[in-house]
Amino acid sequence: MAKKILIVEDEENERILYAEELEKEGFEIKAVPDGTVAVALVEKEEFDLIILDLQMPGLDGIETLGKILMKKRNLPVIIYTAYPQYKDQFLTWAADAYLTKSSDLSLLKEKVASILK
Amino acid sequence: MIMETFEEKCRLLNYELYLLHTISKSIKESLDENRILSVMLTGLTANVALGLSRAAVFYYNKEKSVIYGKNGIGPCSKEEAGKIWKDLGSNSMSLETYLVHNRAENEEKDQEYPSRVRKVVINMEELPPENYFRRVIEEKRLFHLKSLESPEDLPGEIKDLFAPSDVIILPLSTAKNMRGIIMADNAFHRKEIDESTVLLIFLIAIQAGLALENSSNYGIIRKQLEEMKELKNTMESLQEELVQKEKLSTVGKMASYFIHEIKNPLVTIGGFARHISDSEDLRTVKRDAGIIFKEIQKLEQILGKISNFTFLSPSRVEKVNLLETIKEVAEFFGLECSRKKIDISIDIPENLKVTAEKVQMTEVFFNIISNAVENTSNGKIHVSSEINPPFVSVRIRDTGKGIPESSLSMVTEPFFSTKSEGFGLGMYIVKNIIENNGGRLEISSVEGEGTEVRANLVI
Repeated sequence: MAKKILIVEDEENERILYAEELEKEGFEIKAVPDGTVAVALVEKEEFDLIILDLQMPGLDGIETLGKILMKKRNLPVIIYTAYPQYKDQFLTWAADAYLTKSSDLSLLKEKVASILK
Repeated sequence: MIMETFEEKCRLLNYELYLLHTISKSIKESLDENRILSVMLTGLTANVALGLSRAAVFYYNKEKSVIYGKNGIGPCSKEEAGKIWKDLGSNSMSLETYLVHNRAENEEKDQEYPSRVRKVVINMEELPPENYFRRVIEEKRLFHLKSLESPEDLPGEIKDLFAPSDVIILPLSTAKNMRGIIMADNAFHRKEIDESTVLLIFLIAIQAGLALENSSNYGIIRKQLEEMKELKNTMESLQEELVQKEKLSTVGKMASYFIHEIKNPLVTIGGFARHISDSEDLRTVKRDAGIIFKEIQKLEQILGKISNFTFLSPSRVEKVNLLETIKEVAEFFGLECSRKKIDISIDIPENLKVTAEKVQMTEVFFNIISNAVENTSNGKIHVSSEINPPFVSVRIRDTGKGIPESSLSMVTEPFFSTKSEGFGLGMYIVKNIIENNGGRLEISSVEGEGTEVRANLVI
């Protein structure tokens, strides 16, 4: 059965891009635009991995991460952001990986594959 | 007969007073040590003045117990003396001109005597107690040695300077300092040195001593002044440099925000461009091109925002919309606020404007809100406004750790900081900008409860 990934990203076009690229890799993808929706979804559905943006309106990446981990402590999370500078803080916090956004998605795909292998 | 003598005495006294006045004035006018000495020596030896044949100055170094020749004026031989007096006789100069003309400085090059004076080095400790050089230093008094035929009781080191004559030796000193010895004689012409001349020499020596003291005090003060000036310049340029650096760090923080803003569309554009290059389906290509186009429009908007928001825009005073400016700044701190669980709220009317430079207002609110965010966690930052003509009071209140009362007045001083980063110039810059724009900055704080900053800006 295909592994299930939740993408939390407020930029619509980025959501489409990541979803299509990861579907090509054989994953089942759900993509949502904000943290509140993501937290609600995580309660209802089982996911194998979350890909989380940091800067979002409403519930941002940090709060979303906290709320998700309170419910599903062992759910792997990849922070995927344009900010390179918070890496250390988030890795000690709880995220499994911290990647800086790039138009070349190969690094993201590699990380996803290695976490879900 | 008695009358004539009295008149004669009066004339003489007048002349002596004139000499003393003119030479003293000339000495006191200078603050340069060498000039003082050379005016004094010129005065002592000038034919139109005291008419001594030769005069020399020796300095005394107490620490090293050494007396050494400093300067002198006069001939070394009868022939030289004859030539000099002949030359001088053909020149009818007033004493004032003569002193200004300064014989010592002009003749020094051709004369043997000054260079012989400068070769003299006497070890005080080797002088017997009865030696006059030693006695002048120790007793601080004048000696008038009449008709000296040999340099007996004078240091052996000055024998090259000696010629049979009446010799006057006296201290060059002030009440506090023994600077050295003046030696003068009437060699070659042997005109008698009378008591009134001796008194004048003594008075002139006192003036010279005082002038030297002034000169050295002046030298010290001038040096200190120069050092202070240099220090002030260094401090100013350092401060200027630090203000620039602090501004740069503001720019740096803002830059990281814009990097984020630009990176998102770039990621999308790049990603869909790859899509297109891999795709053969025309519909997908069309859709992806549309997305790329939209993202490029976004980039253009962001670039427009950058030139509005940052330091690239030209500086000009305009009506600045407060809500827009503060929102832009608050947006910048959005991530930091959620990380620190800070609820930031802005309650400012939409059309409220102040007269200022947009860039500077951004800098003001950036620094104030940056401090509030820095000092608050699990709390609130509330920005509100109030109109008190001619000002708009913008109030930034946080529930952070507050500022101790003892530090409150120092917050706007340069280099005051409670942080390990930065130079402590943030609030100093804020205060300067606000005041330069005709406004006022007020800060109140309760330690443990929070801080309120009020920027009173001109409407």
